[in-house]
Amino acid sequence: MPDGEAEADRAPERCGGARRMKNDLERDLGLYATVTISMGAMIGSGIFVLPALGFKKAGPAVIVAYVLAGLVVLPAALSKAEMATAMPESGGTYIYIDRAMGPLAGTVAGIGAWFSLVFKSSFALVGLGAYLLLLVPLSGGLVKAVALGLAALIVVLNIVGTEQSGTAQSIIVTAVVVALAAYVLNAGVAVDTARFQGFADKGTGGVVTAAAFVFVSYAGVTKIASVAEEIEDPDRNLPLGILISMGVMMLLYTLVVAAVVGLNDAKTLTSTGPGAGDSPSLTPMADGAGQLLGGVGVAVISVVAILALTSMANAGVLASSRFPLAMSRDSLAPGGLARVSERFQTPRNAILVTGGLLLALIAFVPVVELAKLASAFQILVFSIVNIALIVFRTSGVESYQPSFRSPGYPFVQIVGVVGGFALLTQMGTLPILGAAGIIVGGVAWYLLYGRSRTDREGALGVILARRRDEEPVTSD
Amino acid sequence: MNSTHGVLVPFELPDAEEVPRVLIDTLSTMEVVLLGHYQLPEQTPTSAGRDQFEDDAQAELEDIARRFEAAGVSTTTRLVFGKAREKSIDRVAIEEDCDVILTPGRADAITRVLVPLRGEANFDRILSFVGELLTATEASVTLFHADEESDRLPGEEILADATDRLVSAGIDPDRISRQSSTEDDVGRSIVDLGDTFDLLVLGETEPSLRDRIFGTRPAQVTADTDDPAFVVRNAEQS
Repeated sequence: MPDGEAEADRAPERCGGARRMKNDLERDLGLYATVTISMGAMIGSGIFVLPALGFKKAGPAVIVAYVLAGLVVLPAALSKAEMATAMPESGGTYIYIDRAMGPLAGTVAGIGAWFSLVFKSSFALVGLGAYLLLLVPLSGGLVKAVALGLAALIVVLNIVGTEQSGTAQSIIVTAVVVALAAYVLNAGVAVDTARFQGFADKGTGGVVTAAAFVFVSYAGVTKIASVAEEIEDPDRNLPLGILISMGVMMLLYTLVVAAVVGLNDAKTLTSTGPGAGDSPSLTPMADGAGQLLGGVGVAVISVVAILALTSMANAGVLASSRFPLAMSRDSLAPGGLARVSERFQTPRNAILVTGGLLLALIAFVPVVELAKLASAFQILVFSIVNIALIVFRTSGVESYQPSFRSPGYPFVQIVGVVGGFALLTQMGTLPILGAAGIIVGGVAWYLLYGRSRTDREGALGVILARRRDEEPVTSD
Repeated sequence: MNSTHGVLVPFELPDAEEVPRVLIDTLSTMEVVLLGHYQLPEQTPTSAGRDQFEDDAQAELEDIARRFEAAGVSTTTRLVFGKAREKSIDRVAIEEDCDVILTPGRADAITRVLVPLRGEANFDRILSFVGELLTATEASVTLFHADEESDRLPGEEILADATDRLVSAGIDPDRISRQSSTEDDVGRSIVDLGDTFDLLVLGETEPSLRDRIFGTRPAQVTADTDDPAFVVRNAEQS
């Protein structure tokens, strides 16, 4: 979540966070750059790891699941983009929900968003290990070691600090898109249409479950929100950037997943994973490439996958370290987490805590089996983001002055909330229990730590206070 | 008096390099804006970096300003925390109406100033700045022209015209000399010449496609030389 620059000599009015409105950023991101940034953040495990897991749930209709998931993410992306132009502060989702609904909701959202983003990074690294195995003959047990090693490397890199560079990102995006396009084109020849038979066998339930599962494939679109302040002509480029990148990715996912389904035997996808018995394949793209071009295809796709997944994990660590940092600045987490290291000028403690969780997840938690746990909480957070926007608009708090307003308000937001909760209900008990667990944990942390240290209230408090004031007066 | 030039002097905080006193003295008649830029890695939210380092950075910037004021230069300070240094410099230059940006360098004395010229759009501005610079110092100036196809006027004419302007600004003609070059690599010959001079004044060029890839000529020249350089911005851009 880059936040460009801030000036010391004209922004001393830092109180309540949401109050500091103008940030003097260079607006120099055009539509093309906006679309690339968004796509770069989306390409990762959604395409390289998840298709086979989704296939197991929905059969060939997993293609529909990808479209459905995209439609549910879209409203949250628009909502986040609007709030980002009103609150150009690092901390993203946490900040919006906290300022809208107060520190209790903020704590829950902050911890949950942090946890699920780190989870996503660990998932990317484990998936990466599986692709690495296809290139280098390592024993299965080494996959974990490789993932841990890469995680440690990423943490060190982030502590030492890196210069902002869009170049590496756009090279990876271009390489991946070219590789995927070639993949789809080649697949056109080799696809066995018989494999699409029984398209709807698993029924609507299967599709919705799979959609909930591949939901994270689009989560990256909200990266647009974090650079919203740098986008020129935001009224045009923000919604267009979101819609175009989502549209392109939906199309790309549909084609690629169709290719994966068409190229592979159902058995290959559902039961060649590294886990015991019949766990689904973690390398569906390479499975398909093998059908097309043999060993060379597998190698090329594996290299592209490793690049994309590393970049995703790295971006995930950087972005998720902002949650503990932002919470600490609001006194909802220990002050040391907001401390910037004198030596490296990076928020070392926040990165260390995030890196510690990342390593622990890879080492001790079966991330693949529990991936939907993280997915469930992410869906919940995305739904709440839509509610947060409604709260801001309704409250009319003066400090809320977005320069971009989400089109279709409030219908788009309501669709987002209802869609999100509909997906949640289809995920089964475990993920819902997991989401509930994070909520309980967040509330407990707030009661034990945050409550005594903060007296802020969100925009929701403003609405409630107004209601209380109005009640005795209105008499109709 | 609205003819004075605004000069932006950027510093990389913390522990900024000192600007030589002799260079500060050349600025005595101008409006000087001191820009302290605190570079942060992408891991650090700008607001967090600012909260923690603002006091120290502000103190350092004020120390720098005191050195300028001791030399009789009036200054404005701006402190920016950010990740894109060049962008901040351009933005602040526009906001503060600075038409000249100083790229600091080493200098023991300012006695010989090199001014490469073309028939640029900001010709007037460069010469008016050079005139003011020379008034504040005892330095001599060499007007330099390298033949390029893009020029509308022959080099001799440009140099003669430039000399006239400086003389009418009250500069003793004895302090002005002229030099032409027919070498192809203009940037190279400016850098080579620069070795025998203490200070450069360059006009900002319109970035061509080549410049966008390899950097603009002022950027290349200032990167290749130890001499301090004043880069005069294009009028149209402000």
